[in-house]
Amino acid sequence: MPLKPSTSHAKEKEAIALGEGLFWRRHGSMDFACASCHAADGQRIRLQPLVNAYNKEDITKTMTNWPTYRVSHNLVRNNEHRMWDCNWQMRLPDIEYGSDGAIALIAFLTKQAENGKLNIPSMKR
Amino acid sequence: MKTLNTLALAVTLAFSSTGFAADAAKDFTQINSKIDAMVTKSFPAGEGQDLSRLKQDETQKTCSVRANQPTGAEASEIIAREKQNIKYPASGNLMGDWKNGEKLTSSGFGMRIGVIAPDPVAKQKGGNGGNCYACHAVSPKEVAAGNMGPSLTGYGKYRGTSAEVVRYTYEKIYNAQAFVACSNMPRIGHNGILTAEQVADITAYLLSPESPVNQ
Ligand code: HEC
Ligand code: HEC
Repeated sequence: MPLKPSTSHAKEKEAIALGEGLFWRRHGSMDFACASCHAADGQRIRLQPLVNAYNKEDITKTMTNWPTYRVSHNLVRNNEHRMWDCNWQMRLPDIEYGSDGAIALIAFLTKQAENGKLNIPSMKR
Repeated sequence: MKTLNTLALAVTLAFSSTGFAADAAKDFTQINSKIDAMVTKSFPAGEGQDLSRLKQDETQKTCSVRANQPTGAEASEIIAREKQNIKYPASGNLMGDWKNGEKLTSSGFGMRIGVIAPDPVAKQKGGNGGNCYACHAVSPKEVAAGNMGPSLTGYGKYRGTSAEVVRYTYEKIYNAQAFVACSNMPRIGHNGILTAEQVADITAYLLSPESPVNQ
């Protein structure tokens, strides 16, 4: 099943645009934005490889692999949970599940992975 | 910088089929108030939350709407402002205790909040870490190093410990953007992650001839 984010409604288009804006928004004690870690090829935090949201192949691999079995959690988690985790590492307060911000980020990332074929079940760290 | 970007965009559009690359010039100025409103709605107040962390200072704002590619004038403004924001240890000594610096360099602890897994209060008493290994290779003995920043292994070996080198190193760690506008390196002293004295300890860790960094 390919990822086909709909853009027929103006609000859907807006969510993608705002999601990209939020992706670059720097805030918190570490001055981090999502883009600090996820907008260049070949980057690592310690030994963990970081997906580049602007590398089509890379982001497609990521977005088609969720929900996933997270070995480090012993549970199946969704992408939103992974973003919450990143958000926590950014030293930010909790982003609400299902909030406009969380949905906008997912809308943007899904758009970047457009046409990628869903590749589940999967397993990640 | 902006003109260079435009050029890069033209080249990207001409030669790549993706056309959606990170180096394309981005500008979120027009939608920024909507982004701010969305952030306000998406991070609810409550126990364990610190919503003040979502409030941006001028430097964060500029770097965000420009996707870390400020215009030349904006970059100069950031560098001038962040230079003024640097504070120094009361002792005036910018080369502290390298052994304590070693501990601070490897610790990534501190300042995580929220309801699910805030940093434990008991551990917080030990203070925050500098998180340097997330992005830098430092001691040749530590292999689990990130690569977002340049390797600092042997940092002091070739630079020596002249007053200028000590001062630059201290100021760079205290406030990275006093030298590179919109750097991905956190403003570790300015943002209150480490104290001035702790930054001086790390400065000593990078520069001392006895430090493992320079063996
Ligand atoms: C300080 C660096 C950092 C920041 C900032 C950051 N992340 Fe992450 N991100 C990581 C790390 C580390 C991983 C885990 C990589 C691994 O396990 O190999 C990760 C993983 C992810 C994944 C899953 C990747 C995959 O292949 O499954 C997504 C999606 C993601 N981040 C989105 C975000 C979003 C959205 C933001 C902003 C809210 C963000 N990240 C901010 C470091 C960061
Ligand atoms: C999120 C990633 C990140 C973290 C964490 C980080 N840095 Fe950096 N650092 C960078 C980047 C990127 C650069 C290069 C750009 C610049 O100069 O600002 C850099 C540059 C530097 C430089 C300048 C190197 C030179 O050759 O002039 C020093 C010194 C430095 N970092 C020390 C540290 C220390 C010490 C710590 C921990 C207290 C640290 N950094 C934490 C990303 C990081």
